[in-house]
Amino acid sequence: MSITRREFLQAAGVGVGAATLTGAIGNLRNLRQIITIDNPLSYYPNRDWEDIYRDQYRYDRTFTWVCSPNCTHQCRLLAFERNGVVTRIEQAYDVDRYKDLYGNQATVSWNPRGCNKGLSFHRRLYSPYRLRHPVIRKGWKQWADDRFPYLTEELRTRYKFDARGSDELIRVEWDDAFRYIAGALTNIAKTYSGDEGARRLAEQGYEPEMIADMEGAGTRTLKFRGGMGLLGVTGKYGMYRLCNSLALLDARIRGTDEHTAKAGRTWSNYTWHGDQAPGHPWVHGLQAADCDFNDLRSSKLIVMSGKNLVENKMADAHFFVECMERGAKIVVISPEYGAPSTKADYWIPIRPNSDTALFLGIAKWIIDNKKYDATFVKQWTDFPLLVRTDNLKRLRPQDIFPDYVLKDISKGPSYTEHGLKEDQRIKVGDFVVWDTRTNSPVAITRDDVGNNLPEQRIDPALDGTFTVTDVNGNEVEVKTLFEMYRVHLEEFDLDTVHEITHAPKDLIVRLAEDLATIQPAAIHQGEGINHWFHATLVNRATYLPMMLTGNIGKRGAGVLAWAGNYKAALFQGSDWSGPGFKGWVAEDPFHLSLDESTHGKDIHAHAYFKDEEPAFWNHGDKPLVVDTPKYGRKVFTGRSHMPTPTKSIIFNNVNLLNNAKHAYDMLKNVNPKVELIVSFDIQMTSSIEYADFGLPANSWLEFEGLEITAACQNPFLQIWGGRDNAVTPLFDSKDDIEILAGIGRALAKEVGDTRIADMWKFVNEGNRNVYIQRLLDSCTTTAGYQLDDIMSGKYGEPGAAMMLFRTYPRIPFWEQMHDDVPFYTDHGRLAAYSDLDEAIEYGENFIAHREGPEATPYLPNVIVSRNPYIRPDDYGIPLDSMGWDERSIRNVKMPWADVKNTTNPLWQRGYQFYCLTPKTRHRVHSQWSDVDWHLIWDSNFGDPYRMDRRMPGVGEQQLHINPQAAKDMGIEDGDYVYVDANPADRPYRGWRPDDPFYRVSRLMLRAVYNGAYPYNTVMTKHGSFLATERSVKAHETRKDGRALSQKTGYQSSFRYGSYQSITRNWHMPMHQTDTLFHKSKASMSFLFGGEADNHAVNTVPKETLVKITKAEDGGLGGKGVWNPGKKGFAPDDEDDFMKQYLAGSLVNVAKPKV
Amino acid sequence: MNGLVSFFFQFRIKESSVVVFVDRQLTEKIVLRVVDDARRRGDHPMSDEYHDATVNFYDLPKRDRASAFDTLHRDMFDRFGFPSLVKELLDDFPILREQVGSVLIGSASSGKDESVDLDTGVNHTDRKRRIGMRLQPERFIDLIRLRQRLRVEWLQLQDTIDPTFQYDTSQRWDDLPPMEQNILRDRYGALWNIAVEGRLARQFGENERARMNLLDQFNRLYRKHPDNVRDVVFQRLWDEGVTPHPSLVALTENRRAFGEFYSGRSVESLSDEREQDISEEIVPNVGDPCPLCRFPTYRWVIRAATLNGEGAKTVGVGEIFERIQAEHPNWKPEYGVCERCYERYELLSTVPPQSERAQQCR
Repeated sequence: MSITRREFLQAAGVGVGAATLTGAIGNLRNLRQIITIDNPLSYYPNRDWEDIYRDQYRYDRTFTWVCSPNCTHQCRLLAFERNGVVTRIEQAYDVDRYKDLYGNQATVSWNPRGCNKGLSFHRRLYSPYRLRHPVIRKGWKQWADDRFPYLTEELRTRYKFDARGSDELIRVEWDDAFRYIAGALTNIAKTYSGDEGARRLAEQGYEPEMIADMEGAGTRTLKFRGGMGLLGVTGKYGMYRLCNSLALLDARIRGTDEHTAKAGRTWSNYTWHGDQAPGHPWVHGLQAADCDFNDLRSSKLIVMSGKNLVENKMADAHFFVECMERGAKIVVISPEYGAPSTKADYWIPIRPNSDTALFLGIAKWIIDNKKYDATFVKQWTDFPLLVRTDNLKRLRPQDIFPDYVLKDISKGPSYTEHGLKEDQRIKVGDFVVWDTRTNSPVAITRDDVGNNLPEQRIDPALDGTFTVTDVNGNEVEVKTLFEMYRVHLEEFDLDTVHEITHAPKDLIVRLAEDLATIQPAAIHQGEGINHWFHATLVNRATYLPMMLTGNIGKRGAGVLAWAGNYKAALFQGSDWSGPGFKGWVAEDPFHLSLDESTHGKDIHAHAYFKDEEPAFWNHGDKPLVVDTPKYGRKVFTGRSHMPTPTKSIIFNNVNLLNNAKHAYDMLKNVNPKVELIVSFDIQMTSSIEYADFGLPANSWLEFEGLEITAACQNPFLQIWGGRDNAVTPLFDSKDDIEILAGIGRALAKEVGDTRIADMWKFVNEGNRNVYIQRLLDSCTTTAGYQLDDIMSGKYGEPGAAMMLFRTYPRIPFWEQMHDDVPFYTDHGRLAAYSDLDEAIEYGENFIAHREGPEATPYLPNVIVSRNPYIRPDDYGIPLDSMGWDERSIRNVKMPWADVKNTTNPLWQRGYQFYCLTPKTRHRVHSQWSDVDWHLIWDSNFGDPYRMDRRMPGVGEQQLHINPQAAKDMGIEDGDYVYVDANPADRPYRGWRPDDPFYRVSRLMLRAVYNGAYPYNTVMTKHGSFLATERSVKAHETRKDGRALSQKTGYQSSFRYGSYQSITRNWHMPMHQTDTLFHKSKASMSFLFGGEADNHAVNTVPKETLVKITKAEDGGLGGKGVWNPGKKGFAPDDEDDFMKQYLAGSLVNVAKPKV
Repeated sequence: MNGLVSFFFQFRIKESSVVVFVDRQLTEKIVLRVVDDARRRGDHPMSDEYHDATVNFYDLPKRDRASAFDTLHRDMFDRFGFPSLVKELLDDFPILREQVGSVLIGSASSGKDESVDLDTGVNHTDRKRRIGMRLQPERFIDLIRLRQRLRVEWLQLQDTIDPTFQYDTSQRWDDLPPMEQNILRDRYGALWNIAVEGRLARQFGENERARMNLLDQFNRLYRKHPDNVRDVVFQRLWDEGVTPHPSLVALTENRRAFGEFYSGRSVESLSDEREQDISEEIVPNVGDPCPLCRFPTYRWVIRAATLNGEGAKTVGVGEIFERIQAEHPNWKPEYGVCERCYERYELLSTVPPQSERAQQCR
């Protein structure tokens, strides 16, 4: 046995030998004869050496491709290939050549496009962390090989459904993978179909409403998610096409037909990411308002409210920067002094989660100072509409006019442009204003907006309380909403707003003045707002100043939401163009168009699937159901949102489990009940570590056929890929659409129905472009384009063109303002009020400031108001109840004077830090999380040499913390800290200290001093790769300490835990109504209630409070203080030199003597 | 052995069969460093000598130049006295002198990379052991300090083969989490260093600086023990002859052994009681792992005892301790618990059961 203490001898021998050998070769090279010359200036004998430098950049060919992550840019980039290897990537500078069908051409100002992510994509392409071949979980395979016995608790354990993270992933051939997956889908659908299936699910504890929503179809337990499908409409959104084909599976299992068959559930993207501004549909009825980025140049005032245009819109941020050159004013509202604040004319620091109060205060200032645009307010907002003070509902003509008949608007834009249907028209009804000309109430329709109102000689009153007599002879008090808002806003005087928000009073007034006087003005909001439970209220409140000043529908104006490339609506269908995007994802499997020449408009679309929010799966796989003291069991989730039990999850292009809030709860408590988890990805992710299948997809640079995408913030249609414009796939991977088709073929065989395979006919025949052409044919934005023309470069760079928009840049609500067409709300106006029963019951009929259900020092979820027209129901939930669902639905109204004397019990316990989790400039969500360059750049602890072997990789996740706050807790700059949230349910429900999984899931990371953050606010970037059982084991057992999973090769960004250790899902009741009237996302039509990505539960990862405690010293190896923190350059440790530098006094320039 | 000759210079030790191999490149680096250092100190004759010798090498045929440099470097290295240093060290440590057949010296790129080790010798034809050292070139500038440093290392090497030390290479702490392993290894290392430095101090004279450093380290690692106990234990380790490996392990692992050693008794018999004794640590230490979750913590919740160190502490409530004990029968409130674990049991009663019941996977 060796007693070598450090295994020196072996290492020394090899090391020294190798070094010597290298030296010898080097010496030989230097033995070349030296040529003697007289004058090197006149003659230089050998310049061959210069070729070394020239050859560094030599390439064999170039091609363009599209970098298509969920960043909203979709930049076409230029790849340089040498010897079959992409050696570098550059910006293409090609946008100025892009044209549309009519000859419109993009401005050269879009150039250059691309950022550090795209330019380093070859580091991902050739990364050691690629998923190289299909893998299957060993225990799952055994379950399948045992012919899928029904999974009792005992069998779940035997087949390791409750221990996926410690099971083995083994290689499987593609055809076998397809066969296994098809077999499982069939088995699961059978198991949970019919009465027997319902009985089993009830026995497993699912809520009865979930089971009822299945209507007997086991296929409804099969969930599919094309990760941000717009990023690749055929391959990614194709996932939903696969889902739709399961109607044929249901038909075979239950004997249903095309009228009764049901497919699976399609999971959302935008809302589940928390990217949507959920208040937008409440204000204007549209999924989201956003413009093309070059519209930013037109703004005279740009306000970033919880939005970081610098770091999160890197490719096109220059348009906002141009505003500075053009003299526009820039304002940033955020808790921290961040990158955009450095560009701002002024920065308004604000307490996290309190922005509603700020905008209410600004609205009050504008109204009190009569700075509003009365004409705009009367013509385009609901402020003049009359509201009954008895029941808080809007006054309807039929309330006061006997035998009132709805006005005929069938020739108006509601019908002709928006696709309003007759039943919807009846349900929406008409409205009443008080006409000042006649001094009486008059009925108006949703088409009576803009100039249509004065043309009817109606001048609605903005102020006033009136008494009307209803059709039963009762007197009813009514008020204009404007009048009611005066009452509502009384609470939000300057002092109160300052107390609630912590924003300086002078800056509140300054912003109010600027918004009231500078036009056009735009407010940009992002995840800094949308990731909070009450984002809906903030979004609605943000519109108030713009509604009052008419900053809507013009160049450079509006309230714009910037997060997530969500916009399936870019491939919009309509009566005239055809089904659009729906023709691809929801082509009717019973009536397939198998003729290649079929025009896209003629495709028969029928969605047998039903969309669903993964938020429900993410909430213990249940809807919002609470046992209330007042009413007993109460279901808050509307029928249109109701989830079904989750038994299978297939997803692509998304690190679903890594990005799930409360991720460790999902892994521990929820997923053991899921019987099939399949992830398609280009790299090894934590999702695959906890999946049953990992299927390797081709990367954007390896696409073997064409793919199509577009972006929500530019007008560019991008098509790329194919053998001539890609590199040969490096591994045993496939294009997403080929994987989907493979599953389809196997399922067809399993079920015995060739129509399932025919869903992919043109893919199977190597002719997938047929589907792209059909898509182009049938969308309002692409109808008329021929794929061949686009690929031949007719519209600029081959593959690129401009989508057909009415204006360039695209301006939201331009049509409303210019054509006098209504907004997409029930009354056709911008809404400051909602009279839905739910809104009134929840106390959100007015735009009110509420404290968060968790992230607040005060009573969780309290409504801050004295307004007598807010009458919420608290359901009898006690004020001290700390259950998460109870807090979500406890609607208690209090004036600020009382609220400020309340305390959140968690805050009292020391959970006194808001934790912001924004996006980093070095990743796109979790993509690029394992790229060495980005890991090094992304934190203060990046170190390619890993001098400190505690580091999980060459980079490390860090928590930005106010230096004084850290010092008060005994935390030095660079120390490792624990970040813990509510111990009642995080990191997962039922955690125990001695559970090995707790060791995996508790968040530990580096603290870094950053004086830009206020005392009670910390920040850690989101998206990095969470610690798994395998990565923690590797970290604790590998000699080098890397968190690199054995066998799978997964590289975690954390030693322990993840930022998801502190998050959870919150079921926001206002996101779950069946009654909200709004526009469908991908067609010119309306709907009531839920639609995924549109009106649905948004996840809100920032809704948490954390406690921070020291874990380990930051110095090398855990000893002493982290050295860079004590070099005199770090925050709060500045030496004299650094202080002089910061003060700008290093160099004193003497004034010249005059 | 022959393969080494290509990369190493070979030096014979007078009156010994021990051969010293020094990496040729390291030799060159050391010679250049010493010459340069001499020049900086104003010792120009050495610098002149080197340059006078080497300038002629450039007149030699190219094929002969390298060997000329090698010869010069080897001779100067020898003259500087490094092989003699090895001889002195061997004389200081007779057990090593008897068992070691060769010493191999390689180059280290940084302090972290430096090492001194001993192999088993089973792979060598003479069955003699080999000492391997990886050192930075600058170490050779100050031979006195280098000798001091190597004495510590070599005495530890000698301990590992000295039967009275009873060195045992089996890995005792592999079953523990790395952080706990680190704590135990730090403690063990400190104890061994104290014993070794104490013996060297008696043999070669007091090294006060080393003693103070070790005392600081020892006090930090054993903060929980009263000052007077620590002082006695430290002094006993320093003064004792060879403190055997099992005793050092026992002192590392358990508190009772520490007390026994303080009382002047033998502690070897306690070395197998680690599992039990570790859990009997009465006063938790800041930075120690929580007995429940095993994460190191600086925030303890304890019953009433004093916490050592600067970390925050809270006196816990009996009812919560009872809840903890219900799930962890072997745990006692005296052990303390980290704040996080404590809260977990504290909050169990405040969340309405319906939230838990309704959402828990059934």
